[in-house]
Amino acid sequence: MISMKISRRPLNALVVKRLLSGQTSPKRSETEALRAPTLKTTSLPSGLIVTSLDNRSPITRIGVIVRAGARYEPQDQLGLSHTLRSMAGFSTKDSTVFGITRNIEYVGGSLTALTTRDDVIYVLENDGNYTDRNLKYLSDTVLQPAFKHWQIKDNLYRQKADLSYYRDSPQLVLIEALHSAAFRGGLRNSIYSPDFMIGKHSTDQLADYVDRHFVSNRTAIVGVGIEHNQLLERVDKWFSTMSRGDRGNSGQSKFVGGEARVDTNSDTTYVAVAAEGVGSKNQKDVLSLSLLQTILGTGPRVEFSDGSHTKLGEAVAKTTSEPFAVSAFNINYTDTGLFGITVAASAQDIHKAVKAAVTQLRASAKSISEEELKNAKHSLKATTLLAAEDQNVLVEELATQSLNAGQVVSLTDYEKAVDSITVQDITGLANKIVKSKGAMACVGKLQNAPYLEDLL
Amino acid sequence: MVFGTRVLLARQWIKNPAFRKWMYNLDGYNKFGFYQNDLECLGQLPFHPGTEAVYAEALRRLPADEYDRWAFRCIRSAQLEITKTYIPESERITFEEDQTKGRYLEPYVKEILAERKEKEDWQDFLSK
Repeated sequence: MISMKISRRPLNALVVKRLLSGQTSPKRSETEALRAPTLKTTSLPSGLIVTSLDNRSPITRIGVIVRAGARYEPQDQLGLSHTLRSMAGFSTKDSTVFGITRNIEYVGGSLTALTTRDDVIYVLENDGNYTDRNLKYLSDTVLQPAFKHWQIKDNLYRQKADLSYYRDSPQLVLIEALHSAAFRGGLRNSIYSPDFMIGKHSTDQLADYVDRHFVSNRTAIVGVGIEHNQLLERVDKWFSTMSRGDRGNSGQSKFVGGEARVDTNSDTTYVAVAAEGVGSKNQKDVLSLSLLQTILGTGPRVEFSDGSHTKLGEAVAKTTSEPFAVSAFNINYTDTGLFGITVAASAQDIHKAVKAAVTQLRASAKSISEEELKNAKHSLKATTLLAAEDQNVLVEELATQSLNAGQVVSLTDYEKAVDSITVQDITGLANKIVKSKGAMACVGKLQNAPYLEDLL
Repeated sequence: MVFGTRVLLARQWIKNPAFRKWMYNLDGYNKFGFYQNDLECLGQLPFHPGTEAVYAEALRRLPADEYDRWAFRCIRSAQLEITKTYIPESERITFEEDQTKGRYLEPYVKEILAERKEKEDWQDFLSK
């Protein structure tokens, strides 16, 4: 006990304690007091945005987000972003794939790549002491990947495994089908490569894509568990060679609204009905729609319960006695989005279920009670704060906000913003959505599945 | 066995370029239309599973058009064997061309050997 005290406190403090033996333990000095996590953002002159959240975590997570997601892949090279994501961690100009994998895993780290329609995010996660060793691999993967053609060929089996997981999840097939029907331009691209494009992407195509899109004004770097100045030093050391000119695709996209029907041999039919939502630039609109989504219900909170205790669930439960699932969704991209409902029900009852859900959506768009809104605000704040406990989710969220807006909304500001939404904000936006053109996708046995004209 | 991989005594006359050119013509593989690197590949099937040989892996890594040219040279040499002829003097690969284009596999071989060395170094490091 005494030896521990000697190693932790300077000698004079120990002497003071022994003289004042009746005292309780001495006050902690300021440097030892717990600091709240600090969030700082810097915009570098090259266009790079650097954000750090110093929460004194022993694990440091560095995320690099680049505006090079599925919507920016050329329309004649579909699936390029899937191959790009699959090739993360393969040979770079200075390192081999074996070297990168072994070196990162030897210190217990991990390097992940994630693609959305807007962006691609690379996350390096490791113990804080080894960040310096591993940042070289992260920066080489982002800035100088080699895309050796035999490695692309050897890697095809992993892309095919991705695709077979995708085909086995009807919810994913549904959402991808919805996007391909609803949008014109980049946003119709799927984050999964089509079957006919596996093995058709060449080194030159990938290298050209990286060359045009991985530039500093399309990139943001996030560090969670690292101090801001340290992060800036490391960004300066490893990412200063990023080029600046932006020759990337504009990824322009417009909501056109259409229908997609995918026949499969599934007795459960999945239907998604949506209208154009809002882009992530307008925070108030995004929060209004998120609150509407919460009011309508996003499925049961308790796993494996029957889901009839949300507004949408109550409406659909009246139409079918078979198991069902219904949820509202709110997807936001930079300039546009989707807002709608997904319904999963047996193939016999799907028509009635979808009609009931859409009727409930229209009813909620017309009138929402203050009580409902208050509960929805509590619920939304809780969901967000609980999700922010997972630091991986936090890295992605900070990265997306840094790149979209150049700054991050702190959690307290977020709570205030949610509290400031009124019923008029929501119903005004919702009425506009309900009146606008719709888009629809159906997956499963479709003999009874409705068409858009049935729902008008 | 290729001329270059044998251990030689460091004598000046061996490095003389005129001597080396004469030796190249004496070796005579250019009469069959081969490059120097082709000789290591002969008899090694590139896609045969379990082959440990470095040159087979290097052949696998060749870009498609280079691989097709290698295949053409092999087939052409078989044709010359059957007809018991050589490539005419005017069309044979010269010593200078062999020094540059004839070493097309060397970059791939270097990379493969470096990768193997990296793996062995790691195994040594872990076994300590």
